[in-house]
Amino acid sequence: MNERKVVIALTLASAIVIGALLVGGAVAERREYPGRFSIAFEDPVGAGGEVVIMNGSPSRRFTVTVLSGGVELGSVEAVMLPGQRRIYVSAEAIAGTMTFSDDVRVRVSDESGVTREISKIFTPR
Amino acid sequence: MLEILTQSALTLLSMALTLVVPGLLVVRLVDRSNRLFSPIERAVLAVATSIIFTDVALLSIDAAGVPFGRLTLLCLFGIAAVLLAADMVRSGRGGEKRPDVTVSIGFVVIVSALLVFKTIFLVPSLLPDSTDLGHHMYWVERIASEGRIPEYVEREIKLQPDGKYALADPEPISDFIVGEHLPIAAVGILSGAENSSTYPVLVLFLIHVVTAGALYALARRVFAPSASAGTIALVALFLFGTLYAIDPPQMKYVVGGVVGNTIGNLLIPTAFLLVTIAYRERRPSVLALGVIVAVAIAYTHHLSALLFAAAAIGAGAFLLAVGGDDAVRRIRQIVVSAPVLLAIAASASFLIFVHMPSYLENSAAKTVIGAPEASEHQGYSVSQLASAVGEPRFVLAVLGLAFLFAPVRMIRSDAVWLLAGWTIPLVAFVLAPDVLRIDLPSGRVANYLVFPVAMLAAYAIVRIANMLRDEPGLPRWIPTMAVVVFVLAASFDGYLDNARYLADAKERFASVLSLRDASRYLAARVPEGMRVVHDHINIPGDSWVKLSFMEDYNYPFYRAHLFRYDRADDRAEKCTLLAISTPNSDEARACTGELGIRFFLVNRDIDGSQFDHFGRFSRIFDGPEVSAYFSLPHAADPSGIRSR
Repeated sequence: MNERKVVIALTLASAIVIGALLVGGAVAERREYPGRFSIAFEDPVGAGGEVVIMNGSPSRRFTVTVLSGGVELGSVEAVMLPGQRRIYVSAEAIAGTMTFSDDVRVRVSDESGVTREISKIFTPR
Repeated sequence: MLEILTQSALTLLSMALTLVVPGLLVVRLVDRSNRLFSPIERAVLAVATSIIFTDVALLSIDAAGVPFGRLTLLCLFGIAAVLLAADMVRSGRGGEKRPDVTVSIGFVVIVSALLVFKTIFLVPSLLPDSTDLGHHMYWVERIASEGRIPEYVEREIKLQPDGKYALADPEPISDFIVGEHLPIAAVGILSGAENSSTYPVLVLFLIHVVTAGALYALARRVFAPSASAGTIALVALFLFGTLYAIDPPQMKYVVGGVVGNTIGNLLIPTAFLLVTIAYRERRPSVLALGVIVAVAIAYTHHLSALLFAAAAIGAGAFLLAVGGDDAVRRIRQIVVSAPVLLAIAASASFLIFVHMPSYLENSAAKTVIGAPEASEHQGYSVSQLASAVGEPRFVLAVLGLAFLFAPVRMIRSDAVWLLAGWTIPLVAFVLAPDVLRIDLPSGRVANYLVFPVAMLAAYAIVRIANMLRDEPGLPRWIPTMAVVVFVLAASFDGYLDNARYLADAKERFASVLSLRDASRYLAARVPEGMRVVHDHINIPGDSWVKLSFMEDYNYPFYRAHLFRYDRADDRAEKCTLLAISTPNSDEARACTGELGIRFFLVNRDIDGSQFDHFGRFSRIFDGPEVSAYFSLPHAADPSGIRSR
């Protein structure tokens, strides 16, 4: 076989493989993975209770529960629109007229039952 | 999807522009006759010299005080592309046609198999999470975002004489060399691709695949003009690239982000290829290019540079021993020539006036001289060495080395001087570092042996087949069967090795992306004056966290592997250990207070309980694997959080 033609063919083949892997990597970055969602306080240092749900899972419905001092203060369902990757919920709004004691805990569950919890402690124990 | 396709096409184009085009131009300039290099050699040299071109160009631009952004690089590589196109058009009109060189179907089959194995292993690592690559990409990000060569320094935590912790002034790091980062940075700058995306691994993948081509080309040159040279090269390619296709220093190094070593693995056989061609064809211009490639190794990876130097000295000594006066005359004729002297002078000037590798500047080379200290530097036994390079390959290579010195040789003396000179010093480094007073990681050195070992093993197989073929009275199928039996025997272990790695390869895309979410979240919200510590032991790929912060190579601080805190020459501070292992202890409270550490990023399932148990830490971020905690201030420091 003519070496020059073989080299050209293998170069093209390698370019196709690398191109396909580049596309594959980019798709993998944007894909949704079951259970891949994170929650966090928008302001981790201050007293605010705004919570951000960072979603990378196929779930669109999340149950957000707010607790303080071991007591459940309220619960809401947060719904994400298709293509939406983050939503914000306010722990204060969920708690309504109830007040936080020494801490606030926010528990978020997705449709498959995966649960995450964050907390903010105001008085060290 | 359109955005993905556009970005991927742009990245592929940038890789071609950076890693192929300039080198192709250099090769055409060196080989005006179009007859010196075969097409495979041209392909190998194009990539190797493109890497060097990129390094030289960016270092020179930086030395001139000009920042390099996308426009600068587009002009640089664009000019190279235009010159290449013009040269191709000109030579197409009336230039000499290169003679037809043929290659067997076996080459295509082996390269295809090699690509399949390596690609399958690569797929689960498409979103990079290796610690080493994360460290390297911090520097690549610095280069890309600042448009200049960064100062390779870091700030460490120091225990002061008064017993308090503080951050030390920046100190030079010798572990990284700019030449290993510039080619990746150039692709990133040109394409605009994120440094945490797939492209850095694919740059290494391309370099690695071309390395297999370099070995094939070198074996074919070394054993030429023997009629069996093509067969030996083919078997060497099979033993090197298809068997043990994943084992270090192959795909494990690519996905592991062992950047300098992977580039060094291309440049070493390329340099020997050029030296062999120059010596055989008496071409000073080819040796001049070989000198530049050899110097480039020093700008890419210090271990590769050291071992290349040892192999080159070994090869030179063997050449003088076996070649006698004829070799001396020929060497003088080639070396004492305008192109070679010019290349040496240019390299020396570059070293002095443009850029000196950081490890030379810091005199770090001294650290490899002396009795080996660390346990992994103590040397290997013969059986460990055999295991490191693959037992069947090792046995065959020993046989091949013995054949090289056999009274009746089927090859010219080039193979003896190159292969023996390359192999013996490296084997000595691995087996007897204490005698040679060399303080190097034995396993890493052993990995460099796969190149000469593959060639020697291939030589042994083909030599045995030829001996059987020439034996009168033996049926012709016996040598063929002998080759098949040897290859099958050698294959078993190599394929088993591939299968083991492929079975272990697991994709962790969700975890990688979640860690990115966590680190970006923290980077955007940690207030000035507060610092972060994360865990290295239980968070895979934690080094990528620093790409979100881009403050210092050593920031965020991290809890290192526990043994490092017990080593006298390693971690003197214990704060990062205490901060995660016993975060509520008095010592941890004191030292984190002194350093301003208030945020902790840990694996929730393993280390979360240390924080959840005490009512001083708020879990402010919770993801699939990692959680981030924020600590209320120490009693003595009431700032930082408002009470409700």
